[in-house]
Amino acid sequence: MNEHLLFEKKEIYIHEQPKEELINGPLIEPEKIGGRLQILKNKNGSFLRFLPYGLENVVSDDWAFVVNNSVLTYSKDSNSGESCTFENKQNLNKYKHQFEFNELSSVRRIYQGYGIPCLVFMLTDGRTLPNLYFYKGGSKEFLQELSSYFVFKKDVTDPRLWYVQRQNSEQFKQSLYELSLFNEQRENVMKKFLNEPVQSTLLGFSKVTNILRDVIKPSESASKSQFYVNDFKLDIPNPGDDMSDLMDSLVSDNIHSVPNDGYEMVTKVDLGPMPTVDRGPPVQKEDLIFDKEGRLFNHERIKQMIFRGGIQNELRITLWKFLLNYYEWDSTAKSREQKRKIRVEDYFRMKLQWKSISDEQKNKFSLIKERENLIEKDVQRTDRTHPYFESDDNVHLVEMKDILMTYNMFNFDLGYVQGMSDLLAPIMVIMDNEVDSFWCFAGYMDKIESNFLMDQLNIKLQLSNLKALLEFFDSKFSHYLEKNESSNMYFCFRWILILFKREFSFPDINRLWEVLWTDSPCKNFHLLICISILLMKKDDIMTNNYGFNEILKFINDLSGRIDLEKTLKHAEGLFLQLQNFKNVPNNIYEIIGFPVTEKNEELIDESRLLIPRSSSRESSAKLSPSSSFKSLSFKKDDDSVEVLN
Amino acid sequence: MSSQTRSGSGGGGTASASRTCQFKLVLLGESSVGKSSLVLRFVKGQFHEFQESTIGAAFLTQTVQIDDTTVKFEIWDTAGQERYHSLAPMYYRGAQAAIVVYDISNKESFHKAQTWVKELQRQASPNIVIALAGNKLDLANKRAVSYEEAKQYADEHSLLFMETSAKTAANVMDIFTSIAKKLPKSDVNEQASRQSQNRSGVNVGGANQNQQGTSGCACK
Repeated sequence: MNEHLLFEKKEIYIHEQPKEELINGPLIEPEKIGGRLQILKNKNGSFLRFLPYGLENVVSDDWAFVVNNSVLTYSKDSNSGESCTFENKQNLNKYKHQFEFNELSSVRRIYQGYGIPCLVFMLTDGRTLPNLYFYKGGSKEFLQELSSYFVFKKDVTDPRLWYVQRQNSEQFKQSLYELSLFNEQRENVMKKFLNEPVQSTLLGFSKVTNILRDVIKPSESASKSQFYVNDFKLDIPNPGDDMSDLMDSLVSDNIHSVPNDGYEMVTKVDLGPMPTVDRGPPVQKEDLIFDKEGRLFNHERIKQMIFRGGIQNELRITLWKFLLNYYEWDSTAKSREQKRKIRVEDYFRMKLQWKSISDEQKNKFSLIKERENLIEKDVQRTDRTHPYFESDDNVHLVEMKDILMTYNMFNFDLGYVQGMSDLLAPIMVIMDNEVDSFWCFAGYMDKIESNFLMDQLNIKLQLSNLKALLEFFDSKFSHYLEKNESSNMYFCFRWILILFKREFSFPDINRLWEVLWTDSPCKNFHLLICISILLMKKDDIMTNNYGFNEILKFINDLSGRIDLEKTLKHAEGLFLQLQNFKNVPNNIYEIIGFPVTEKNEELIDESRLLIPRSSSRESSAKLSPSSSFKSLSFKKDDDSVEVLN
Repeated sequence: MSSQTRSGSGGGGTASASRTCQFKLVLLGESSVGKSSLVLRFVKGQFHEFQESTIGAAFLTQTVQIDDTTVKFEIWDTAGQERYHSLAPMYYRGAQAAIVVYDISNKESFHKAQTWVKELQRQASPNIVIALAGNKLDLANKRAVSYEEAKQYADEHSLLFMETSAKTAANVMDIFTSIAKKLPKSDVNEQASRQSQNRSGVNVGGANQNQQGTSGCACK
């Protein structure tokens, strides 16, 4: 094989989280795939490989095609042409990972879960290897071993992250790089300096004093830039103005510094500290109070509780019907019974409409035939790893088709669009009943139908709103995306279209959706969730210098790796920051549905700074849907954004 | 074990006699014809019977060795449904290669493939290399599009053509390799020295998006 083993560390594990967990409950123990982590060398150079136990002696049969992160083994069978022989090894093979050293972009050493150290390798093309757990220790030693092949540089914002510094032959670039004044592509440095002297210089200065984060706010008009320092707004007439004044104004009491692992971390606070948000327990049966006519007496409080902690799994079958407009919140038991009767009749009436189309008729009804084909194909491949849909000839697959076909009759103008089956699947698992699933699905579609319209305008609007929010919360990252052709935020398309369905496990998506269905604490809260994930991951993107392709790949690959509770807390923290900050631009208020009339501006000025402290709760209640927070308490904490892992 | 093909993205640190070319390739075709499955087979050697539909787009990379040249494909896998058609130009813009996929057991998907070819020839880069893939060859007993018909169409429109099966892996490697062979690997000495400096995590792929409306590869 012409490979030389240079270094090996055994007892390394990959964790495979059980993909579908049926219940919310204690975390199911992940499957652990053990193996060895090797540094090897062949004629093309050095590379790193994780080799699962059991694959040690697998020699490629006829010819092996060693690729970036996997090995394909083909054998030429003279009778049947090319066929694959890896079927039996396939299960293990998917855990085999390797990359060439020149593909490594960064490595992070973290302590996950029970304090087991693990290494996370990120590559230049946007891939992230699964966490490699060092159960028997030795991650530090491994990094030390690696450091004989690379020049690692510790990231200034994240002391657990080392990125690979490449040798650069051109002296000029090299010197710039070693000074580390400029993070971005070196070719652009001078050009950028000429175009944006203020920003470039500040960026450079910020490196000299180590970090000066979030210095530059976006200029709201072409002629002047605004800098927010705490609550003071500085209007800078023109880029290129007196630099020393600007620096003086920035390096002032309004900036506090905290020691951070040998680096001095200078953080400019402009939105105030990120409030710490506590999440609550899921709603349980005991929390529901019905009056004597069966009205859910305390439904406002229940909604708040759902926002705060979700719903216990067994109770979802009841409460989702309220959240998805199957029943009115203030309905009586009797009216619900009547409503259900009508729902059942309506469903079967509409189902009969398409069921009764004869084959002959269908041949002359191309639109319905086309949609039926598409639905059938998608049903066959929607969440088939979930036990509820797993087996072939599964009655639930038939039900899924019937529900989607009936929805097509119910909303023929919209029809069936890919992504809908994703939205339906979790509802079916919870409802376990065709009619109820249909109407809950229809209620969900009412909320987000516009995501699926032909013109895609609503998706585009949401993406542009997302960009505006990002610009507000983190203009530096927003600027980075612009430079990397990603300002259309298209990499978030999947998140928004099907509301993170592909990003989370079933239990997590149940939780996330029920939180979103409460419409709390503001309009477009899902966009704050997007922002939250992006901010938690921005260092990965920026440190690795990812461009358009890599960003999309990186974001797609976050699927299954996002900590939902942490994200929900952080997103609510962002909301509270917006609520507390008084100089929020109107376009941001509009996105999250805060009133922007002058009258309200007064209220905002009085109340925002102190919310959610007790004295100002009442005034905030007048302003926005945040009234639902009256009974909740928050701790203020000087917390900074942490990187999720 | 007779031979081993070693591939890599080249560039940067390791000393390698071979050069590396980088191409953007996009997969297009009707929903559920097997675009993602072809890529998954090519990139990871895997096949999932129930490969989920692609929402938005996916990006993957894979390299093949052609003689002394390492060809790195940057592959854009797109969503197939008509509803998302308007997003496709974003992905085929600047692509040097495209695989238009249809399902040999589905006549309609072959028609759809033809409209994709038309669109590419009209709107994509003028020198784009287009391959037509008749996928699901494993379903030959349900064949609705004959080999001859597709081959004739491909010849008339100067397309590479192969019938493939992501499930059995038949012709999957071959179609990518054929494309790699057909792509112009221009002499790159100057480019090479310039671009190899960039590899310190700098996004070569992203930068190509703008630069390469025409032909030629990003060789290093």
